[in-house]
Amino acid sequence: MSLLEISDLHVHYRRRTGRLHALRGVDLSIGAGETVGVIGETGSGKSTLARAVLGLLPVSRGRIVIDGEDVTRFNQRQWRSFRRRGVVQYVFQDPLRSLDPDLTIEESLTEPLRLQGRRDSPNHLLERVRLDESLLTRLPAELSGGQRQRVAVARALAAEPRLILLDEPVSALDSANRVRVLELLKELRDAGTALLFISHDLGSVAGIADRIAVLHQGELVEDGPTRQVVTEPRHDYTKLLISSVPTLRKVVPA
Amino acid sequence: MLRRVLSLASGRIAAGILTFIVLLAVLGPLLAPHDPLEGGVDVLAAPSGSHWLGTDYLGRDVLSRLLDGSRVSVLGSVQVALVALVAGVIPGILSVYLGTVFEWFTLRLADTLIALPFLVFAVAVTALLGNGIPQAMLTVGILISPLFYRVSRAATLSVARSPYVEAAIISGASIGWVVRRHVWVKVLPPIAVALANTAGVGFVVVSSLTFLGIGVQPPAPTWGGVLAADLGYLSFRPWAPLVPTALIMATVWACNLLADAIRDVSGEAGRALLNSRAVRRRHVHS
Repeated sequence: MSLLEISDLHVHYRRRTGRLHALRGVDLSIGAGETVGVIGETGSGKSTLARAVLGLLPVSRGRIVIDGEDVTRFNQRQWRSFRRRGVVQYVFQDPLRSLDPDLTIEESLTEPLRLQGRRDSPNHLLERVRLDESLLTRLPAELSGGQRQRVAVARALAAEPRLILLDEPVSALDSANRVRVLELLKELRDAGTALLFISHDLGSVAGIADRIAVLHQGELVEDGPTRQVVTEPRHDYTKLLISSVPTLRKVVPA
Repeated sequence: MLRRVLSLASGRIAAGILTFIVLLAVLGPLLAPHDPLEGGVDVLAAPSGSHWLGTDYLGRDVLSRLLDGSRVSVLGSVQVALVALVAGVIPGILSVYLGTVFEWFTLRLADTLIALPFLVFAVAVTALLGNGIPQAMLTVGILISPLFYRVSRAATLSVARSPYVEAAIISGASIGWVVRRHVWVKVLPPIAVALANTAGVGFVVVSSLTFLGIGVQPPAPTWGGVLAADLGYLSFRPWAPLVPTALIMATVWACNLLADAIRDVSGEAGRALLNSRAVRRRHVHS
């Protein structure tokens, strides 16, 4: 059974000038422990997809089933109790704003534990993302961008999720930190956590994803095993994406 | 928080002045050397041994009137500030979370209160609830509350859609949790500044209402009332308004100083400031 099952998903944004059709009939499923990359340019609806799955946006049409539960028509109370089970977590794009500037790292990491009614300390979480325990008393402003993004991953791990949505997790990082965070994500994948990796950059996703889905103007134009999508793209937009990544053939030899 | 405020020099000065003012409010009426309402033939007298600050146009002892009026003045401005705080901050924060109907309703209510002529509203409340100091303070507090509503709403809006709030919601946090843990700290500093300003406005308004016969009735003394009386006789006692003015100014200034100190020690900037001071101290000692 799939961990996440999205069928015929439509999302609209209400704008002053009218309605914006952000997602048009997206079908996507992720099995337990599977890593799926969602590629698309800015405005293609990648973040909208993640936010709809998390219940942060109202769905116009379609169905979202997470871990066997149909969450599409959940009310606030149902969402709250579902979220406290910690099945799905989210890592944000911007490491500068994803941690509360007024809370220490310890307080930020403790929050999801307390929400689940747990009393344990967050020390083991930092260990999992290879950060030193001495950072616990620091404020986010006293950490580097790479450290902050690893803390954000640690916070997502606190709930022991089975699925983590990653929205451009490495786009704001320099190359050394990018490699570190990607290594971390590979470890998570190998430990059996399902990942939905959202990015505009095919290069950073191809090395980690089992499957790649391409989102173009709100529609899923391609969905298949990474190797197949990279070597035999069917849609014109995918071909364009691949031709714009000149180093890719070295990463995934054809 | 209090400990951090007192670690700043400005915080200590503000706390000192405000403690003095509060003591004055508590003990003032007992310390008054004369009956503040008893007139005499010696009107508009210069300071002397028996009347340290002279007498007013009815021959009443000015020092006694200032001391006796301190309780009403201080209590009045505190009441105004508290009413404005409660009536403004709670709907201000909730307007962001309780849906568009509540948001629209409170926004229009705030607009209405801002647009409402002060006099008309004060007279209407007096007609409705009767004349008295609590009613007057309630009126002024409610008229000032849109300031708190706007300030707290703006501060809440700036954090409501931030990733860390969404991260908390994704982990199952309720609105109450988000407000207590993330929003409150960001709303507090601007609120403290607005509160200090309001306390100052309160002094002035308490006295201006006295002219209308609303709130404090004329023979009863307040700082603002003494100031108003002195202003009418400037040609006889040109220095006289300085004393009540100094009291009001010292209180307002101390309130503002305290607000600045609170703003300085709260939030990210505050911790950074205190950390750098602690580091400097360690360097000096080692």
